[in-house]
Amino acid sequence: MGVSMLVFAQETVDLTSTVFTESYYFFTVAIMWLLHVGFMTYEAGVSRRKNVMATAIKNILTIAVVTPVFYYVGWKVYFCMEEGILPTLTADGNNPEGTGLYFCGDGYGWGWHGSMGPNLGDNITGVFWAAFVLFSWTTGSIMSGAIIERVRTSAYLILTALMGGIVWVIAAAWGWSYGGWLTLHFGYHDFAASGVVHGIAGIFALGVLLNLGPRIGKYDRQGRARAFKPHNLHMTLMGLMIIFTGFYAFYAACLAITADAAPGWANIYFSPATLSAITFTITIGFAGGFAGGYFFSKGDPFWTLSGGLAGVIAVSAGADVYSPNLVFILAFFCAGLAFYVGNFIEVKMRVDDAVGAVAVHGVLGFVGVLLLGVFGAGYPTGALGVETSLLGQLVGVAALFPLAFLTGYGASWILKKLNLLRVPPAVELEGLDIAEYGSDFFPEWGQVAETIIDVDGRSVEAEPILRQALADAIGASPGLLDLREPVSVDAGVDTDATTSGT
Amino acid sequence: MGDSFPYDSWAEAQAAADGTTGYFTWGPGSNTMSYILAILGIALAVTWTLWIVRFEDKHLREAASGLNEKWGISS
Repeated sequence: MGVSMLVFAQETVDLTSTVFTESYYFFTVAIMWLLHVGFMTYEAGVSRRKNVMATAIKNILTIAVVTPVFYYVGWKVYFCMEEGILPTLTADGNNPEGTGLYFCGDGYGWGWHGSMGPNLGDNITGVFWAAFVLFSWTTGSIMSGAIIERVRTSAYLILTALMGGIVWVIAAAWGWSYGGWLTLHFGYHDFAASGVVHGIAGIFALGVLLNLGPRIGKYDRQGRARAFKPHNLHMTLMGLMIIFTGFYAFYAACLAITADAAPGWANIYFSPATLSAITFTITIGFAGGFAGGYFFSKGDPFWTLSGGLAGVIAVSAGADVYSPNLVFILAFFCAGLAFYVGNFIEVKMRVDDAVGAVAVHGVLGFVGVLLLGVFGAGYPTGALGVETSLLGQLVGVAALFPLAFLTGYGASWILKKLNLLRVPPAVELEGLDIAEYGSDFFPEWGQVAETIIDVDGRSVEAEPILRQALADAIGASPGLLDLREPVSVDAGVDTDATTSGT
Repeated sequence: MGDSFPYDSWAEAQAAADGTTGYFTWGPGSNTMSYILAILGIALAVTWTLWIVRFEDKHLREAASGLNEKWGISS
């Protein structure tokens, strides 16, 4: 009787643990949706009024394309590309390193495997898979903002399917998995994906931006940068705050639950960790980042909030091991670094990144990876306990950076050659909403003339500048562009109203 | 408040659960219909992507053509 009671108690504990794990990941997934609410809000706010709907729909369709690619391909890639470029398909599904927990080789990960569906013997695969899908959407959304207002929706969807469904997954298999070669051989440590999510997405975006080119009118004939005004700055800032809320769930989903071993939690390499530690890191990281962003940008609202994001991204790689005292300092100065790098990319490199994604996610993501090589050196990472080092982190960056850049540049180059990457110049000037969706979506707000911050810092009417830039872009004489002609197409819109001031 | 638990004992509940473990639509595990459905899903995703490329291209060309004509731009 006593033994049977013990068995019953043990079974009850096991079942409770399983259901807790299932519930935990489910709710991280649900809260991570806020990341995408935030990205959509942020990017729509940043865009000019004539591009709001095209921008928002692009974010929503990210879900429509990345999810099936990850389901049919990405999930398998994650488990079967841990050893490098070539898939490792062992006959018995065992990891060649002998570290266990290696699911490649028995059909696990394919859409037709028994784990991929309503299986009463598997409570975990669905919620764990979904957490990865949310990471996949995040990578796509990071790139999304950088290329707004001139990229074709379909081109973006192909690029985001590639990056969100496959490229970042390869990076995760290498450096963000139990059996990845970067971790097993070099002690690569990247707790909350500074490199494999943020770095990969930001640098992939850089490759795309080089082929896509700047928005018409972004630079004058001397290459000096102008600034487009967000159509709704409050919406932009609110979007970022929503993203920050979702970040907590992103962090939480980076933990594994180890109910049979103290402290009950582990990082993705199954090294011990706690939810408490990462809560310190993300909260203090935002604080330091906001402070640094405000300080270095001298109160610029965009860079204050982007500084918060940059600060957290830079400490994400070591979120499970960093002291909050260190986090505050690192986040403060990394926010400043993001500000200077962002300006360098815009002004010196003349790369038109509409949201600073390359600096904030790409550069600071990989900076965060390297910082851990300094401040977390010696930590035994992964199943083989290889000590994390600056050299090991450098090897990680050397592997991941080209993976992101070459795939982003190559895929966008092909689309460019097929004339499928960018919208026609006249459509860009007119605005994507009318061309793509046949409507201006803000008639109720009144129709004010679009303004632009010129190279001398003055806010001036945008239309003459943009028409001149269009004439330059297509090689036409400016005389062909009658400035008295309303800029609009027939799509049920009051053309006079949409171009007041002309 | 009534008791919503539909079994007299946990053993009965477990037996009911055991009775359903072998069943779900076209599963569990690899079988012919699972392969076919997965392949159909992949084909649908690819087709949809190709369709939106063509759909958007047509849309944009028409819009650009109208604007070029209106503004006197030779394309």
